[in-house]
Amino acid sequence: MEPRTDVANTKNWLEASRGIRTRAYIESYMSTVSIGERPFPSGNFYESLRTVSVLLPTKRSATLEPQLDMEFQAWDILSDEALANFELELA
Amino acid sequence: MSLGVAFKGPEGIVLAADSRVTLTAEMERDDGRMMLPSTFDNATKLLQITGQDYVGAITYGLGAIGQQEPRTPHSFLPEFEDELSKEDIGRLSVEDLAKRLSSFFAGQWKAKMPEDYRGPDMVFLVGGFDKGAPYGKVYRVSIASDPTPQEQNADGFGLTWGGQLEYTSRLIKGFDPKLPSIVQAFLELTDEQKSALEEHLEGVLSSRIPYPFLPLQDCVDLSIFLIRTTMEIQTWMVGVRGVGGAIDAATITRTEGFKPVQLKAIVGQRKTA
Repeated sequence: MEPRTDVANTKNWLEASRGIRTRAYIESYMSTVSIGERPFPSGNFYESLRTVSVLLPTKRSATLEPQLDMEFQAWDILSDEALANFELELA
Repeated sequence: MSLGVAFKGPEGIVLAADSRVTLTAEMERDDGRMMLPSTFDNATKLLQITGQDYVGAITYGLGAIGQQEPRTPHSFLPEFEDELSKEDIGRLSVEDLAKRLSSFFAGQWKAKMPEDYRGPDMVFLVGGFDKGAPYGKVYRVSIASDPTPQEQNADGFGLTWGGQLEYTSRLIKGFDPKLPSIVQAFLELTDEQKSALEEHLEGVLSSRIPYPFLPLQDCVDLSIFLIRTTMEIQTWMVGVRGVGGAIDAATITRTEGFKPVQLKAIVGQRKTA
């Protein structure tokens, strides 16, 4: 039995995945918490956070592709419509 | 016969190999010649070279050099390292180290193997990082038929495997390496048609593994999985069980060099059930 050497590489991946569309989606839509100013400048900040709910300004951590953004909006509209229809049927 | 895997990934190189060496003894009997295969499951086929911290090698194919006094490639390492240390050469490039390894083992082969030897080569996959290079390199050296280092996956990332490779090839490529030849013989195809068939089968049957995407941990997991799979399936089959023992694996990265991931350890008496 002759030992042989075999290889597989990016070419195999490209050939095998020709029929599928692969996109690296952003795994989760996480917001970045940013605190512009200390909400409790004179008190113990961490102690206060344990007892008081504070509304923090948030912003996106990554820019979504316009197309992806449109897809999210489309899903939103569809789910709103589905919910409305469901409620209508219940009534 | 072994199974060795070298993975050139974007985050580094993975080298993995099993630990089984098979020695086959031939005995003359009145009714003919009898072959006696004996397996040894504690051979080291993952080679780390002292003083060359950014390179490593695995070996498969012929497990030992010498007929009456067979020695594994790992057992020759002290001599090879001694040869390198005397020259005070510093960090070698992967290709230069592959050339020196090839030259050393070709010399051992010439001194200890019969001239009429017919059988498998002793193959090395040498992987590592050149100084300042962003990505690693893997070279194949086949002693004695093709001693010049041949770079594997030079233009990208990917896997190289060898030895008892059929199950790995079936999983990765989607078909047994013997299939194109079998179809060629059955359908009386030309060599061009056979090559076209092979290329087509690879295109439609290869596992969809995104080699340029895989993180180093996935490269390690896949390499070990492929060796483990061959090892496991051989336990139920009649044939050459050439893959066995512990799986040794190491990574080589641009910043950390050769780093063992899992290595068998020498132990005392093992517990019995």
